Amino acid sequence: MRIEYERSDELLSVDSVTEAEKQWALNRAVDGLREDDPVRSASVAVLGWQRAALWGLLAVTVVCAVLWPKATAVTFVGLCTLAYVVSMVDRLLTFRTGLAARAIVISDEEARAIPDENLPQYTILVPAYDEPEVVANLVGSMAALEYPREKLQVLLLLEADDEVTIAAAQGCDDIDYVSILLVPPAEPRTKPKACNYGLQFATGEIVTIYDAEDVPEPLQLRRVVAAFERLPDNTACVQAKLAYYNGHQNMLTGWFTAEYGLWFGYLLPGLMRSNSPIPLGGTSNHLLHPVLDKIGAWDPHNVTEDADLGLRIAASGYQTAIVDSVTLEEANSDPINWVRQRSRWLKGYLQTWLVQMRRPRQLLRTLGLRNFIRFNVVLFGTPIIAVLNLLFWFITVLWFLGQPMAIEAVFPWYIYFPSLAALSVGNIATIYMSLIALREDDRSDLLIPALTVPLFWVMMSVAAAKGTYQLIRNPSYWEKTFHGLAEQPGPTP
Amino acid sequence: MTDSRVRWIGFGLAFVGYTAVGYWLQVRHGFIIGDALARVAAAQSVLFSRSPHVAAIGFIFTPLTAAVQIPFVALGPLFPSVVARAFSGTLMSAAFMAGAVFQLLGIGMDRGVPRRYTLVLVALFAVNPMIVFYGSNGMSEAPFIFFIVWSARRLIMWMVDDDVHHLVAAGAIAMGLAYLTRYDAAAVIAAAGFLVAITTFVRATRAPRFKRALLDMVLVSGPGFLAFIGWAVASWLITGLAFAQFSSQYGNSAILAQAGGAATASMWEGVIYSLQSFTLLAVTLAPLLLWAVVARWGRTHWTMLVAPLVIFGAVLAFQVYTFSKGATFPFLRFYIIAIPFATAAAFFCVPNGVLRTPTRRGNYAAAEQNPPARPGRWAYVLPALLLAVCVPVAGIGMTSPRFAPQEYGLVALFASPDATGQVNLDERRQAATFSTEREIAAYLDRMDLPDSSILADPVYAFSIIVASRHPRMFVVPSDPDFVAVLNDPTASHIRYMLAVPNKGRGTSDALNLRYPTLYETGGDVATLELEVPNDGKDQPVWRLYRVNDPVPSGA
Repeated sequence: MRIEYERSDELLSVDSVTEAEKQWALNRAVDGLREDDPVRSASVAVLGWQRAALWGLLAVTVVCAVLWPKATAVTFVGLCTLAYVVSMVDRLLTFRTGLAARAIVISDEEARAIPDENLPQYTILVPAYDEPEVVANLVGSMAALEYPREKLQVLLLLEADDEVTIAAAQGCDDIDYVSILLVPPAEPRTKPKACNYGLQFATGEIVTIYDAEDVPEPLQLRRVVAAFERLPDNTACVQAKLAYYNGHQNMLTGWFTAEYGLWFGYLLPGLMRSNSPIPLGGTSNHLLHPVLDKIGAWDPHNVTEDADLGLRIAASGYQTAIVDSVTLEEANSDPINWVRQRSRWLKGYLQTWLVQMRRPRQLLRTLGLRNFIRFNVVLFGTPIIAVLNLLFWFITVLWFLGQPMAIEAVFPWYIYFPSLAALSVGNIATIYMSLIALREDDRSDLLIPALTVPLFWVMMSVAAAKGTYQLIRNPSYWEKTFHGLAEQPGPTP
Repeated sequence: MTDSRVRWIGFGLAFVGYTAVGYWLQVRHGFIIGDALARVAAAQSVLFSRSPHVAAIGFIFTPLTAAVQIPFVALGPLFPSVVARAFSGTLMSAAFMAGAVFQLLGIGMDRGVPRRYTLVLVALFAVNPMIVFYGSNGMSEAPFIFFIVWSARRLIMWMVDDDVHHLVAAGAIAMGLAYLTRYDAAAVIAAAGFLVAITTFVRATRAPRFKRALLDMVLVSGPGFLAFIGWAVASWLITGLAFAQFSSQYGNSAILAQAGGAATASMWEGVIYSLQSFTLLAVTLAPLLLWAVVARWGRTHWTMLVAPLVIFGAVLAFQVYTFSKGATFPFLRFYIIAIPFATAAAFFCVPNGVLRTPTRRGNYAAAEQNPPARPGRWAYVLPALLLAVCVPVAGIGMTSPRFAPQEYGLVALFASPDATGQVNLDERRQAATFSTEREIAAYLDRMDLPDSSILADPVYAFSIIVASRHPRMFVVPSDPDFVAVLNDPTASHIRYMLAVPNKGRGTSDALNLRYPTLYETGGDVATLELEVPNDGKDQPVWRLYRVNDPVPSGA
């Protein structure tokens, strides 16, 4: 099956592009989605009826809190408990599905069996900003990929005024399939804007993104092609698994690595098997170029453009699959850096949720009830529950210290027992799932991080609070993550 | 017919059978064991006592047996025998024992032995008189057997296919709940943890070897361990005692001390008694085990046999050990696990067939092997015959007053009405236990007293409270105002106090603690109204004391 790409004559050429064409491409990169389909753009965080609804809800809550404080408090706690229980049950069900089934497995022989003539054109976008120290690794990772060079196009996307990185990248330009594409400087300075710009020069029928320091598994591109052959026609994206190579650097990277292992190994395959919407990972998401053009590529105003694209894929009626191929990345090893990165992710989840909920009835129709609930649990529930955790942990500590009457009043027995179950069984179940994931991946070296993970949850809650606050004050601010804090490994054996 | 359907039919038949037996025993003949009735009373007090609250389930004994009955007990006002005759207990234990039948069928089917053989062995288990009795009488043996057999079934298959789902089902669910059913499960949780850790350590040689084994141990034993901690913490938070079974005045240690202990002179005598007990229940256990070990030694997938040996063996070993130390009672039912043990052993006397496909084969699964050739007919008939011998011997064992002090009264139900003799009299007394208490409850109900008018301690009075249609009449120690009311019954408008003799277990009765002379003279707060001799065995002679009227102030 050849994936036909019909608009190749509209593409711009890297070598012979004119200034006017560049400006036009830049405009499309920044404003394309907003102009074509403003409802699907996060350029304005809260749109139309949502704004009225949120203000209205706030007003109603304040009035009720003043008139009937105890009933309001009980209702609030009851709703939160319901959210916890629903989220916990949903995660268990997803995990169970993912544990019994697996990601799509393509064997080495099958991957290599596709003759070169039958392989499609491939474009790899590598956006980088202010990262001179890792750009050099790019060459090694790309050289290790097993794909015919004449069908491969690697576009290194740099901002035109980023002189340090451009200087460091000079060596890359000598390789014939790697091109440096200078994006004209413009706000917002985000990765999705650069990718949108680069997309207009992309000749590939399949497009993917790698970060400069990523180490993809050499047969990944071939496995993706084989996976697309096998999957139904409405599959728009194949996501590879992300893993961290510096899991042993410190406790934080241990926690992070265990979390990714659970997410990519079991939760995402579980979502895939029940045709639920899948928030994409930041890299190694292999997309069909025609579909990207149709549904609008990346949203430069959304700080987690990958999650947003994954949801837009589902909301447009397409599917995402997970393939059993690993890209190694560097986990953030510095706590402050990590909190900033995680706050950006959680803010982005909320942004994505707000955008997708602008047409809730249509979304419900497209996804179906169960997946609609799941979408809410994952995108809205994850950040909000992380914030609520702070409140409820505080209440629990207070309760153990003094058993104040105020707390007892707010937890009647029909709320108390579910919330007690959520606290004890829910948290234990989460740790237990993580242990199962480690066992099946044979990563028992991460046993101690898995058992001490509640501290990780505290950090996550702090990040969630920061992200939610930022959403209200400064929605499109992109917290840059610093890389290069760990030793790079060689390509996977 | 698919394996699954056969298992469910087996479950259904067993459930109906045990429920019918329970109905006949308890509702028609009133033969109820004290602990079963106490569990129903605990469930009833959660819903219908003066101050209904979940902690009324009690922390001396584990909660699962009583907690599961709460939905049935909720129907008590509509169907009084559900509570008064402990029929909710029957339903509970019938469901769990039928579940044990389900899981035993599963052991055979997972192992791939011929279906007829599986059905015969499990039928022999299901009709064993001890199993029938404990499947119908509301005691915690039934859920315990179910959880232990379930764990064993899962770990048997785990030994060859390394499927993590087995560890989750056995460890997280079965063993965790088993601990909340009986404390003895702690031995199984520990033994299973070591079994899994050692097996993983041996068969996975790549680094990190130790951590991998430890991870598997955490998966299997972790939840049970957390159940242990969680229950102790909950108990400590609410009652102030973390291990009430040992430290409370109502707990095991206190009961043993009050009743004169397990009454063995030396540790060896205790061990011999234990061995005799479980030999009575499963007389061919040793020969079957020996046969299984010899037959499977070094053959295809022989490691599967290690799992039941460890799981069931741990339960038995723990029982023998604690009895020899004088820490438990000389009850036949504590060795009941010998019967499913013998049944499981019989499954291993024959070679396996095609093993069940795992949901997710593990990283260190044993290499798949073709099933060995099927042996001739006698290889199946002989172990089945051996197991069949256990059935009548267990029945005979249950008639012995020395070994089966709680079961021998059953003989009276089958004896002719003209039977005489001291033995028959003892049996009839045992069968009549709690009949007097039901009559006292009816008498109190007829008096039409208001709420909160009778002081009583459920140590003995549980059998009266559970048979009463108005449990709110009674003020019991789990009520928040109990101590204040006990201190001044006259001012609290209490009409009556139910008194038991202040010796033996009665010394832990709260009324006797506050008024040590209550039973003899009324303790200066009450006068004797009624004395009721008891028809049952080991039950007290009740005295109903009427609380004194208030003395008019001013003279």
